[in-house]
Amino acid sequence: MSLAIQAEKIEKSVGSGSSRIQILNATSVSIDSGETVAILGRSGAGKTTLLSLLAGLDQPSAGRILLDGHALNGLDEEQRAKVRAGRVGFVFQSFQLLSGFTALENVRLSAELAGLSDARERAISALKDVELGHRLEHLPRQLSGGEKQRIALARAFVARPAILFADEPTGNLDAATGAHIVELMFALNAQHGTTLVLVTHDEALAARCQRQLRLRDGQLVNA
Amino acid sequence: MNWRLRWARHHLSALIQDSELRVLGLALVCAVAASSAVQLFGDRMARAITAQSGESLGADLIISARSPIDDTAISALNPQLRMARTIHLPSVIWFGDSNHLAGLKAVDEHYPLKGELRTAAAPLHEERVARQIPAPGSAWVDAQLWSELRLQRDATIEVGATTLRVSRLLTYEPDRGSGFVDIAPRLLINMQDLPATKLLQPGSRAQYRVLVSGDEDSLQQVKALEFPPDTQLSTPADARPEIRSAVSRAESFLALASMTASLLGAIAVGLCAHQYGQRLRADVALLRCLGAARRDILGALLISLLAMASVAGGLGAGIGWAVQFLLQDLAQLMLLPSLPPPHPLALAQAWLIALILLAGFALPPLLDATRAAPIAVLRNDNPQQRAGWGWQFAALGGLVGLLALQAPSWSMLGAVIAGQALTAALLAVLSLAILALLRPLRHAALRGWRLGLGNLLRRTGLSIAQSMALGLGLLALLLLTVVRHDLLQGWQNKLPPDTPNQFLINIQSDQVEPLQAFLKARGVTAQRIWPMARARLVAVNDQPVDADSFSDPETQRWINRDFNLSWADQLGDDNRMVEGQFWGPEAHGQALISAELYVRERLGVGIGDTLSLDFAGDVRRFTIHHLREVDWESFQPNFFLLTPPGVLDAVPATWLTSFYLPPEQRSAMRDLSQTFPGVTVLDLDALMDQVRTIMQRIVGALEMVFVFTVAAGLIVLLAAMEAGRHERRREIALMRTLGASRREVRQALLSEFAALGALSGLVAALCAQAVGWVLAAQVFEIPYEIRWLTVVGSAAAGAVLVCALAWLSLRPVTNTPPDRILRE
Repeated sequence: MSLAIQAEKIEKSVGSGSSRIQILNATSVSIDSGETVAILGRSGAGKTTLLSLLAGLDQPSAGRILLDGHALNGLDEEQRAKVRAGRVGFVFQSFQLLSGFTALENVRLSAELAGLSDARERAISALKDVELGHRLEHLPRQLSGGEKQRIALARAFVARPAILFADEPTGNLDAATGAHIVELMFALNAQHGTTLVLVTHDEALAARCQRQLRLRDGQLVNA
Repeated sequence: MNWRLRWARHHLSALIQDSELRVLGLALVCAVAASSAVQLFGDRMARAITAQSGESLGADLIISARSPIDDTAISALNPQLRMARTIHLPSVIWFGDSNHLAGLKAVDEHYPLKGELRTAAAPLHEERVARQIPAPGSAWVDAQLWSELRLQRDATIEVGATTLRVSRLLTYEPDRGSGFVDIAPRLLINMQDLPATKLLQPGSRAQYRVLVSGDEDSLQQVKALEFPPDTQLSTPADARPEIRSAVSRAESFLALASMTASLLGAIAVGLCAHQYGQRLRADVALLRCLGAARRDILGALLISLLAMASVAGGLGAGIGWAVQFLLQDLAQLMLLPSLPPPHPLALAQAWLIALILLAGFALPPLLDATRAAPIAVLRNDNPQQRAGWGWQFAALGGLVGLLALQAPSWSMLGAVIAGQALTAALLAVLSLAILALLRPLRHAALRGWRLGLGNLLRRTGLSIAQSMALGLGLLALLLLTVVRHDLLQGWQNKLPPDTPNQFLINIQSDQVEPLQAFLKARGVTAQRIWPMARARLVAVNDQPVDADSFSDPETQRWINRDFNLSWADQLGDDNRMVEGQFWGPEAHGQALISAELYVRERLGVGIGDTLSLDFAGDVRRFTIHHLREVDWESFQPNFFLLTPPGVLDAVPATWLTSFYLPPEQRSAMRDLSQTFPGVTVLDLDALMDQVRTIMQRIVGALEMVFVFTVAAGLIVLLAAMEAGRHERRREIALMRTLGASRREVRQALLSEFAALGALSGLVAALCAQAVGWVLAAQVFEIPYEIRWLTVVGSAAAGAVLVCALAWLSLRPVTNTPPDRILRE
């Protein structure tokens, strides 16, 4: 089985001099293709920082990262964006939809950025997969929190990315809606065989993943 | 449509849906509308002048003089030369019991040689080109005289000693100038009727003109002829300098209004774009996170800015197009009766203005937003960016480009930038001082008011920016209304109630006694009656002088023509001795002269210097005895040069006098015109009314453009409110969550904005009063009373205005449940 993500001795610190804070300290992790992994830890443990480095949203202070076979080290933001497009999907706690775009446009955007020629058809299909076929032309402000997160799921899967990063995907939802979103996410993940990297506080949700990684003092304790 | 176009479309639709972009759009529309109205109108006026230049004289050459012109030499030059003769003079026209001073123009059958006369049967009737001049016994009058005398067609009017029938309404004459006889309402008559009026007397104020048309060689021959010294030759090249000058002044004034509107628009655009840019960072971070390239994001933003420039530019240009039609009144006041249609190309500049505004003031913060890091989507933070040098250079460049496009000259560009900076600084300092005075008050106020005043004082920078923005708009409005009215009123009040309102000129020596008896019989007390001779300066200290002896154009003009002088053995109260003493009885018959300071300024002469004056061929030499200064605004007859009595007895002279005539005695002037047809009556009341009407119409037209300035000031205020809106939303939600009642929140908001509005109104009123005081003291030389009621009224008006705007802007926030805002 090939590796979807490989991180070797990555470090991340912010600030300088006496105000320097070490967030991640010589952390290494390898995630296989198709594997589902949960990252757990207390607030401030560095979960989101680790996710942002693995997804190529930020650069480590030290160490090496391979994302779907592409070395991220030395790439500028423009080149990392190119790597992300089409290969990586995201689901965020606060949905992160473009407020001026309809549900269909939000999902189609991701397909277009991946360079898919049938972006519109795929977006409609993805929205139907998350049971929002009837909400194609609705703007985010016209939808409930659960519906917004389903649009985010459709956007994440529309380009069939190799890897899905999810940051507290149920954090802004009530329990029932959150459970529904989780079911959908795992179902789609299984359907597409996507690698899932999930950041959460929720032990029950983490337990649904094949592997759980805990961050403590900037290091993964059971990587 | 790909995502870039969809994203651009979203920004465009946000011009309506998003409050920040809505204000940005309004600022663009306002700036473009002001600029395009002024540009279109200016372009039309410039083309009207150019188009008229060929026919502006009604001929290729005009020879004019104060005495009849002998044209036999011209006729003998070349039979191909065409000639027409006209005589212009002021005269009172009577219709029933009504009278009005008119500029009478008698023309022969060859007039005009170029261009055409146009007439109508009556006002609002169809205009037609006239093939002939008025038939003998008939007259054509212009719309102003028609309206002033309430004429009907075929009405019989009295012109001097004769009567004429009004047969047509004169709508256009090609060679109308803007001297007194041309600004006054026009009466056009046939030359054959002039003798019967008996208006032409020796020394009358008539101007004789010979119009000449022909080929270039013949015209050169005419120019080479010898003419008497007071003869002037005019060609189309120097035609209508007075109109060019008036148009240029009006354009400068309009440009000032549009530049101020653009400047305020730029501030509003910058404020809104900065705020919008902060919010845009979230979208950009997401797009970057999903893999969008920065150049694609930039491309989409540029498309939206271009689209915004097109929409706002188009809308602004449309409004400007409509407004410039309303400015046509101004053109008519400047005697440009028909303007060519607006040129669509002039609208291109409107788009350029919109583009510069967006490129200089909106693009920098938006470009900055495209640098948002994708990681921001995970952290939900969008750190505020501080304006860098790049922004400031872009804004400065945009500002200079924007103003340079509209400024008629570089000097005006510099003056506007310096003037606006000075005004803004003055407003800022005053605002800061008043805020400091308010500081102790917040502890004494009720809770709602305490919160409001606290907000105002906590955001000192924003409060001052808001106060300056509104203050600039209110200042423009106050200067154009209250201060203008006060200054005019003050100037009029300066004249005592019995200031002469009637001037009689061109009184012959043998008419002096009968005229005095005539006035006495009607209970009219005339002021002094002054003799008046005409002379030309030919030497100073025995050195011959002509126009070429002086470089200053005003002196050249003064030297080039005959001027009036008089003799007297005593001076009026409006004369003040500057050097030397006025002469006594011993000066009788001596060749002395009393010079007004103007003569010293023009000729550089003083006591003891000699002036040689030519009285129609009789040259006499005078020694300057003393220097005096005349208060020319006393409305009393006065002269630059006076001699003692007994010196000029043999020189041809006419007489003039002035007196105050109550309105109920106006009919006496009719009898006077009939008894002394050669005496010219100048009715100053009518003239003042005419000047006042013209001024009101000009100011009215100019105010239309200043409306944009005031609107732009309000838009800046809206923009400044938007700048703090998101922060204020959260504050309101927190206050509500922590237990503040809706009433308390509203009270806090109202008190904050009422204080802000009052502050702006107060600062604007103080600045306006200061400007009024400076103008009164330096320009009008009248006392100026500070109008405290205006100051208080402006503060109250500012408070109401700002509260209303704030209410519209923030009412939805106070009605939104706080949890919804806090969850956003």
